[in-house]
Amino acid sequence: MKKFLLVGMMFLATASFSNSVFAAGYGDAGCGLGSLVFGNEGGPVQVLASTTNGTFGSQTFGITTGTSNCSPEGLVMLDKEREIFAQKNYSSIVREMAVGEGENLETLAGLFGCSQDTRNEFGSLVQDNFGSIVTSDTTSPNEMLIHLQSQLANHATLSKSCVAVMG
Amino acid sequence: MPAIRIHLIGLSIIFGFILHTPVHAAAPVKNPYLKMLVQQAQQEQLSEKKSWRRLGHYKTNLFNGFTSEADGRAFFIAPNGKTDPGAELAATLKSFFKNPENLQGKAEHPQCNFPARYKWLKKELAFDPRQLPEQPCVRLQNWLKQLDSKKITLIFASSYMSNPASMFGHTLLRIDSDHLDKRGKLLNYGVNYAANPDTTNAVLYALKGLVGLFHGTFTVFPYYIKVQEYSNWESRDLWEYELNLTPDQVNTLLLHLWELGGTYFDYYYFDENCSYHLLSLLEVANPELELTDQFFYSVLPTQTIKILMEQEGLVAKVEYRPSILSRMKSKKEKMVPEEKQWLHRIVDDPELVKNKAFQKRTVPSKALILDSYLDYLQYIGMQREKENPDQPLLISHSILLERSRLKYKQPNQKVIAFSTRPELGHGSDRVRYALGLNDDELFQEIGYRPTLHDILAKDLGYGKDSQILFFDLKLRYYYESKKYRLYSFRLIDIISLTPYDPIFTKPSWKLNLGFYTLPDIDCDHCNSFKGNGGYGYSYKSSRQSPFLFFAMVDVTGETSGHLEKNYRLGGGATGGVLIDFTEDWRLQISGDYKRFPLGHESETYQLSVRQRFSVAQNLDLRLEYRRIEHRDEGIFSVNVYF
Repeated sequence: MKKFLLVGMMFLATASFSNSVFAAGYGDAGCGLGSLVFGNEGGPVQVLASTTNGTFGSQTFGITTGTSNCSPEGLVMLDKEREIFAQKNYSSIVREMAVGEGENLETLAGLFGCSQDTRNEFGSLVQDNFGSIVTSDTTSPNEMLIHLQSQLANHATLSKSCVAVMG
Repeated sequence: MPAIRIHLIGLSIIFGFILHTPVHAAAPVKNPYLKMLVQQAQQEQLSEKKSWRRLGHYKTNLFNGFTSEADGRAFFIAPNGKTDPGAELAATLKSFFKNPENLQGKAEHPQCNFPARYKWLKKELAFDPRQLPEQPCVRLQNWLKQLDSKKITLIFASSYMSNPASMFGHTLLRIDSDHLDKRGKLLNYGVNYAANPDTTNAVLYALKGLVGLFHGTFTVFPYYIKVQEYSNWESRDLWEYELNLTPDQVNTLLLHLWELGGTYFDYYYFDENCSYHLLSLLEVANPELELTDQFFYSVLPTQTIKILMEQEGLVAKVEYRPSILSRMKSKKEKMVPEEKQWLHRIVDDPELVKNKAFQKRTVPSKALILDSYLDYLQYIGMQREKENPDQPLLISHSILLERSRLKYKQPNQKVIAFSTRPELGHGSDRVRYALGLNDDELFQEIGYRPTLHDILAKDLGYGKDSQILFFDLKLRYYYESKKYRLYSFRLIDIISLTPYDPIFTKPSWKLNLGFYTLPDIDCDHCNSFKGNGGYGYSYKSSRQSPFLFFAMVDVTGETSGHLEKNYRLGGGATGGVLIDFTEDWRLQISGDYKRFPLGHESETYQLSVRQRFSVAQNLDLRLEYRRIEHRDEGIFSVNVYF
């Protein structure tokens, strides 16, 4: 009985708000275990709508469909981790770079292998050199990473403490 | 309810067969060790055990048998596995003996497809690895290794601005990895259970979701994807509940998640939703927990948090992850009035950051203003992201550069919590008993509603100054005239008051539909069916101010056999103030005027003064006075939430 009442309730609720919490929004997908993401284009998370993780033999097509950033197990490819992180959190990262600190920035430092105790130094480096890391309104996440990489490589201490920086 | 589900089961079985490569469980058992294991399992009645029931998601059905809630055919090895836990157990055992050389294509060995079942059966039956060789599961092992999980955290997304429907909340799990955690919590993986809708039509979406026509699946992805979605794009605060599970329990949870990765559940908004299935995952991890049997018809995300908190020692700690607008508001709280003015002016005209008067301000002051402005720009940028797909930088480069040149870091990053923990809120169901007196006589009132929160109720755990009610029923008995009457049955009643903010000029609005008592017609408490919608603004001088003023214009349509021409259509205005004397004591004074030029031509006035005093989390007392036209009415009520 309750369910029938609830039918009406949901009908009204969803009809009332096109942007309601019930309506599936942005990025309701992920890597592996069901649906797969990460198109190479910008914009919000792209859903490639593959409905598989290949766990069962009969459903392997998803693995090969546009998922170059996913490992066969459906997680982020380890060698692409930094690029994907930078792309998906780009606005947060550039804002935190200008501010000189923040969780996304610390995570990015972690992805460059920088040790915990150098996070403050990392923050100062990106803030002081913001203009050469993010050069314009059209700087892409990958360009930003390349610039950041060379800043780190040229830094006296961070080039040593950030182990994932390639000299 | 079950009746609806029965034929859907049929549908999904038919659908399932199309995808399914059948395993012939009915073939005679040849391997003597397998025969022994099957017998031992029968003797020990393993298929009756709680762990097996949970691994198969079996629930007692209407006919006192069992039906699994899982609907993907590949989740069952026995052809009748969905309804027969015993047959499924025997077929599972048999499949574990499968010769890996006989696997087709990329198919995985059943031991690798059902690792949680394997783990449990191995323990219960003490498998002899010489007679039942353990298969290497490379993909599974890689997956586990990369997840490297030691902890599980349940995440609750609270409501967002101007959308009372979001008060229902959302939950997901986070798999906390040892090595990822060191580099940043954001890199951990999240587990979401959601419907995969195949329509954008709102009506179809609602209907299909209610009768279970969508497939619900588990998805795993980096936690930062969800943080971007909830914290930044929708600007919802997140509450993170770290759970106390042993490493072995976490391992079982992941193994079972792997099993679920390839299947789906028919998605029901109210009972088999995100909250329900995440709880059922926790029950698999720790069979001691009894979480999902506590619900009889609907599961709200807020209730799941309450249930977790009730389990002794299950929640290790709770953390708050502020949304981008909470961060921004928090910075505004630290500003002096002049700084706030600068922020508002810069929002209107970004060129002002180059203005001499602004440049003359101290570095910490400029940084505070710009940091808050950057939060705003990121929020706005993400809202417009879809419009500018070619613009990777959503925040103006010149502003970022301006801020970076200050070479200054804020010393105090502490953020004020703008939302409250969901488990502190009152229950979602409410029963009410009231005694009232009008000009003529004494009356009694009883009421019930299933969801969720009204504007007068204490808003701890809910969104501020919002209301969303469904199926609010009130019946009255008038003593003098000895009559029972339907006072009102509100199908839906929503109010969203968002105080005016120079930066976000969000309107306030209301919408309601239902059966009401005609206030101005002398027809012995007769009813009408009425719809009303309003739009306006609210004002609060500061966050700490106890006064919230509101004013709206509205339109009303009403139909009843007691009205001339059976209807009236018109509009009017409503306004008033909400005053919070203390956290427990709220007063509302409001006035309402309506004029109906169409149909039954008429005018109505109403004045009301209502107050609520909270006695406990789930109990409040209210005293209400109402004057409609020339009639007065006073009501004292006791409201119990559960």
